[in-house]
Amino acid sequence: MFSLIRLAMRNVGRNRRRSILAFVSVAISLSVIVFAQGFVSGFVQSFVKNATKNDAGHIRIAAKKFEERSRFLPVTYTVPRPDSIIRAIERDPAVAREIELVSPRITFGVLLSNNGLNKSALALAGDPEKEKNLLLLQKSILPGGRYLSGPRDLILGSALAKNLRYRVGDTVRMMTSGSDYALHLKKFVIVGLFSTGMNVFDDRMLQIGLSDAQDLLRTGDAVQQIIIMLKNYRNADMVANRIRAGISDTSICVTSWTHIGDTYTTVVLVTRIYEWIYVVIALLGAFIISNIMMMAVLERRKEIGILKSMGFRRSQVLIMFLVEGMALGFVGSLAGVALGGASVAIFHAYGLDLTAYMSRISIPLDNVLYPTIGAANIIYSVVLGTVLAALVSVAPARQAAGMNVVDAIKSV
Amino acid sequence: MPLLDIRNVKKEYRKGDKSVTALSGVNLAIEKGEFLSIVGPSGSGKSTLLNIVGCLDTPTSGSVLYNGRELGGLSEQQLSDYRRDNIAFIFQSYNLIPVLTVRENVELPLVIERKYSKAEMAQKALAVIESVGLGGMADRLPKELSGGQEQRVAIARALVKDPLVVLADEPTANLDSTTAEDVISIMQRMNTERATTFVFSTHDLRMERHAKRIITLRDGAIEKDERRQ
Repeated sequence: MFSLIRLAMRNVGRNRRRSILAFVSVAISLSVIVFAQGFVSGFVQSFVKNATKNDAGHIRIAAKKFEERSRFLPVTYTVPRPDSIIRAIERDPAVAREIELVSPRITFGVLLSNNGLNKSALALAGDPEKEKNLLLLQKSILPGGRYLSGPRDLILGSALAKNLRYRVGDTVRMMTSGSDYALHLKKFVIVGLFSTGMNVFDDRMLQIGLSDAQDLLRTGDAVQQIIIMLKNYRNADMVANRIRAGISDTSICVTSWTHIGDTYTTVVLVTRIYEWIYVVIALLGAFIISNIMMMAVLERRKEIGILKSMGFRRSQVLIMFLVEGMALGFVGSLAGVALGGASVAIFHAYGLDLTAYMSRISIPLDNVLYPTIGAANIIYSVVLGTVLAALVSVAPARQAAGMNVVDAIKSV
Repeated sequence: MPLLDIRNVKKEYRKGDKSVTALSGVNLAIEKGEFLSIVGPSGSGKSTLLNIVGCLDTPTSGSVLYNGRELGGLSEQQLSDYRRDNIAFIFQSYNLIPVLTVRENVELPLVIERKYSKAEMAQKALAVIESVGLGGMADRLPKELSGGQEQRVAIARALVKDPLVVLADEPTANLDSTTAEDVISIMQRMNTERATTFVFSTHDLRMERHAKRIITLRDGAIEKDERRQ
């Protein structure tokens, strides 16, 4: 038994060499797309992870007035009793199962001076044990130094230390404006220098303990922000809504990373640009289908005439050729996705080492990227390949459907 | 009322700057069950007349009535449906679909009709394949058949939906004399057994001999209309 679709399928197999050429063309373009998707996905994952963990986390709980002025990192608007908020969050099982880490934090600007050399820096103050899993700076401590372990300990970016000619063991006099708007000074001892390979860290950051920062800034027990990292950054909006619903204090604001800074906009922009690049690559691959279909229409003019003489409607002829084009695109897309998926799997296992390029860029990325691909990417790619193949088949299919039946039958 | 009533049909073509008259006022009434041959020299208008009767082409003027229904005002889709429901064609060069087996080629008009179940279509196709003497060849592809066998498949394909009219354009032109006799006898048998109306154009004297009515065309007009017992 056969139907219109089956007839179209048989026609696909009619000229094998030509069909294989179409499959290969679509498969190559789709494999490039899938690999690019994997690379971009790995890039975005690394970017979001690094950009959020150093900044506002996936979700930030802060005072409303802080959110309004967050780019100045004010320490005057704080979250009082952060422990009770954290406990409340962890009591909600729907939220708790999404959370990887919660850390209270204060981030503020400081001016560092040493023997006439001045440099502004960004101080990150959090619970040193929790920050071990967030900032991971303990992994980048240079030999001869150590991570934070007690009061007045300070670790410093290696490039920043070099500029100010600081060494491990030196005392740093840190001066900044506190929550009371007065200038305060506190001495710290450099216990380690870190070198992450990321310029944004090594050039301008330092880390101290949260209680030292609270003392320096006169915030008492309050903190500037509560940073929440999730197991899946894509769920941030949903979890933020849930947390927001559980907080009665109207001066407190719960914000997802998608609404903080430029990270989300950058991710959306990169994703959109690549989506258009994917469409162009797929179109180039599918374009050969249009040529092949055009040849098939010319070769099968007589056959089209016969089908029409038997009562085949214009729409049926159109569908038959569209199905043929789609079939070529679909099979080619499947092969391309398999090929691209395999290359993503290999690079996911071994990583893509970009260390050589990282020192020249200031985007917060891991040195080694791990391309990833999900079911949604695979479905998107197959649908993209198939739909574009159908689109490029429209012109030849219309030509076939509009053929004059007498002329078609008479043709050789 | 005749099955097909062709009234003052004219057909003109443009060929460059010139107008060529293919049919110049043909009047012809064809009754149900006729076995009618259209003869005439090349360029006399045989194929044009068949194409107009089969709604593959439209007349420049005049009208074609099928069972009293004027076909002139039908849309392209209505004409497709008219062909699907009433008419079958047999062509000189068989024109089977090469990627389909004999059975699938014969089933094709039924698939287009969409009136039968899969089992019914298979049953009807196999019965008509058997009746044209191709039993056992249902699963072969056209490339595995001889010219005569291919034309039998084309006849089977034309007859499978029990059309009221079969239009055949030089159906024996590409066949050797023995095969041509076989094909003619099959068509005759179908005409007798099923009362199917056959209208065929031919140069073949053997075919002409078997026709019950012969229309001779010359320069786009009927020169002679001859009936035989």
